[in-house]
Amino acid sequence: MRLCIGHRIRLFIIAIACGLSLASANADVWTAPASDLANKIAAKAGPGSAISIKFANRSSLSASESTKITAQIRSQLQGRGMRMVEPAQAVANISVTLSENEQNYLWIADIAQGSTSEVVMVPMSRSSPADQRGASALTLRRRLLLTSDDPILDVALQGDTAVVLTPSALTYYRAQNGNFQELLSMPIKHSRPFPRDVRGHITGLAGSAIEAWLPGVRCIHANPQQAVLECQDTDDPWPLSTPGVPIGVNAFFSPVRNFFSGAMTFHDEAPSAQARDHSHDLPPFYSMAVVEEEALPLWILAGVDGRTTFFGGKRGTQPTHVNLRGLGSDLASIVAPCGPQRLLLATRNTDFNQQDSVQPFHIVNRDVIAAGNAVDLPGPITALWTSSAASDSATAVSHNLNTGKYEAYSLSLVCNQ
Amino acid sequence: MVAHAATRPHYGGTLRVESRAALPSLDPSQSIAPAEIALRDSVLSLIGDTLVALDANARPIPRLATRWQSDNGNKRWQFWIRPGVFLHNDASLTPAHVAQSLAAINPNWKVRANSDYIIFESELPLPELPVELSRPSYTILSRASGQLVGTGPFRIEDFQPARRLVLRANDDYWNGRPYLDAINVTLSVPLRDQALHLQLGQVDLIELAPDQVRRTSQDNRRVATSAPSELIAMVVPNGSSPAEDPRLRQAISLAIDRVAINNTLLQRQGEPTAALLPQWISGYAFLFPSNRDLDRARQLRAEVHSAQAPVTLAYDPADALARTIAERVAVNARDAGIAIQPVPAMTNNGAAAKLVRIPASSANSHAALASIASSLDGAELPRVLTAGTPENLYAAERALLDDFRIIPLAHVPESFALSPRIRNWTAPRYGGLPLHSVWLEAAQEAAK
Repeated sequence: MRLCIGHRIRLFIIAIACGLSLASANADVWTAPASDLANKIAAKAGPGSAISIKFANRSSLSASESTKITAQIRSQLQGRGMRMVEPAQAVANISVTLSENEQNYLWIADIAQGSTSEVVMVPMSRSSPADQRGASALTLRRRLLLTSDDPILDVALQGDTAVVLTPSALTYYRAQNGNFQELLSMPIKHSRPFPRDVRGHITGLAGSAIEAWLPGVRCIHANPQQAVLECQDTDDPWPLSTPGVPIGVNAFFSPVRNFFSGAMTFHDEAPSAQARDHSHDLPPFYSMAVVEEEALPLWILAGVDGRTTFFGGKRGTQPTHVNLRGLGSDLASIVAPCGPQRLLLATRNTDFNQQDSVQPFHIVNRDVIAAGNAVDLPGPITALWTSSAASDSATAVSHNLNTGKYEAYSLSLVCNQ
Repeated sequence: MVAHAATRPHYGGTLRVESRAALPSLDPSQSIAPAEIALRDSVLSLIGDTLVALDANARPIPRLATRWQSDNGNKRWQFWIRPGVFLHNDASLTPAHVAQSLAAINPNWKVRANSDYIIFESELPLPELPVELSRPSYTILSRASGQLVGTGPFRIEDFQPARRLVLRANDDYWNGRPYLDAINVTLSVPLRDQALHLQLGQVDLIELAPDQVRRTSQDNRRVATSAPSELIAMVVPNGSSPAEDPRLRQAISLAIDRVAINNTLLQRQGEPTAALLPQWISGYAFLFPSNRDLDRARQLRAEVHSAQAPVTLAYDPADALARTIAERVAVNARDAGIAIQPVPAMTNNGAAAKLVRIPASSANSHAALASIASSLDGAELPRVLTAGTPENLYAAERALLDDFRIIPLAHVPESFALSPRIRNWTAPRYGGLPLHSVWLEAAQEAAK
């Protein structure tokens, strides 16, 4: 009996100095299929036969991997008593091809004996490891948090717990012996279908309560000990406050599209100040980040129309609209450990079918100046959020173009002294 | 600075598409010419959903079925139907709809509906049934009111075969409303006219023949090309008297210079082949040698003692490439002493053989071979469906080719030219129109 279930999430912590090399791992990976192929060849040619063998690589495997595999296959055949001889002396002439298709590597042996020929095959799953780059004055680092078959909308880290929001569930995981174990998963209930390019955001409430926002839906998980997620349709604005910024922001998100409408409220969160709310109508936007301009909060909006809008800072409530070359539509902010200044994190201006990257920028005279390296992610970036808990990290989600999975990363800055 | 920031998709707009296909019917239970299948498959994936989809590695993942399981040696399957899905007529999708839809496609299948799942029973083991059900032919559609009603991201607003098809976004699509508001497809437009309309900005998406690809790219137009997937083959139906002797058909196959056809007529856009599936889909296509062997072809021709009447080879008169390939096949065959006479004809209409073009329809080797087998030789389909291993699939493909009634010539890519305002074009490697995820840039943005 075979069972296939679509919603799977796998989480794992990636140590930055991961010592396992792909090559050594693959040496073991090839042993089983090499053994299978040798068994099949021996069954057709007869164990202990004198054979000639030649190899060809028609796959994307590298020459060095191909050499290791052919050595494995030879060794496995010899282990079954088969002797390698010249074609003229052979009982069977065997052509082994390392091939592949969309699903698998496919190793094929064409076994010619006299005027007849038989074909045996061994499929094996393909995998593709991700790589990582870095380095410049200020280094942006990525740390893989988790992978999922479902779109990850946001991840919030609370100590050793990760809270993961997907369009279908809010799930808690706890770190245990280097792995995250699922603690609790609660379905997201909603009356209308979510729009394509569905987006969602996790925010904290007082205590340990969690609030999840999706288009037209607000969900609250009030008690971590109970698997009760209260979801209700709402047209309330999403809270987009940033840790360390004394003015909070709520922004209305369209329930049937993938952007914020531009209607926003700003409220003073400083304890000493009088509570004040200001409402403003700004252009519709995809994402927002906040930095400082002359010690005042400066909000940067990635507009639906492709323009960037600045709001606040030294020019007050008068928005300015500019075109910033190459910036994508996902923005966040982050603080470097070596400097108090908040930096802008931005995706590139690429399409959703291309690999994307995130880069930190300084904002100088309402223009962007690269502050560090761009970190490549394995596919388009489908979510980028300023962490609602800590100012020194952000969360990015990428749709891996090779594996088709969604990968969530924690981004942080390292100062190169 | 005049660049703009936009990676997230925009909603809105109408995509204008032209196709040479006439699209006589959208109903997958009705057979249509192989050349029409690619567009129909694309449209089916817009108006409906299959129970199962394929992921980036061509492995089955849930779509309208949330999960499935098999028992009794893969002879009995259960598929659980996704709740909360609505047909375009606002009726809730039920297992009964699904069972009826599948039975309409394959009346031999025994499909029963239960409370929240369907049960599928067969006398033969079907180890790859979920993959098979990912093919667009198995799109779940209701035919209750005499009209096709699906669950997909677009609903049919207007359909006039050979003239036009208008699709409108389904705001309540269970998997997210599409970005486009509408898609207008104008049908039966010759390729030359399509190219002109793109130049004039009257259309956003057109088809390209292989010999148009290089020139279109050189004109700085956006070209999207799939991997070589579409099979061009010569097919000799049963009872075709001049070519009834299999030695004669083998001789024709050996006489054809596939490399020359690819290099000259296809301008190296395709791959010469003697297999049904391209190498990148099957992994074993190289086991079918495609080299020309004129000596052996002449030898086989000589063994066929009877005086040979010319083998008429029908090709689609609207397909200029098909005509040139048919003529080249005739020239090659003449070198082996075999007379082939190309004739323009929409159907094989008395012709001894026909030239066909069949899309792969899937990147999964099982699904792709099943698709080709059902287009060409339904009798071999059960063997494909019961193939649980690559070796069995290879054996099934070899069985389809053994009597040389199907003579593969080349695999060619599907190519399209796109207007600058089309964004997020993510076509599957095997081709098709990825219009679920496409969005349109505003005119002033596209002009930058």
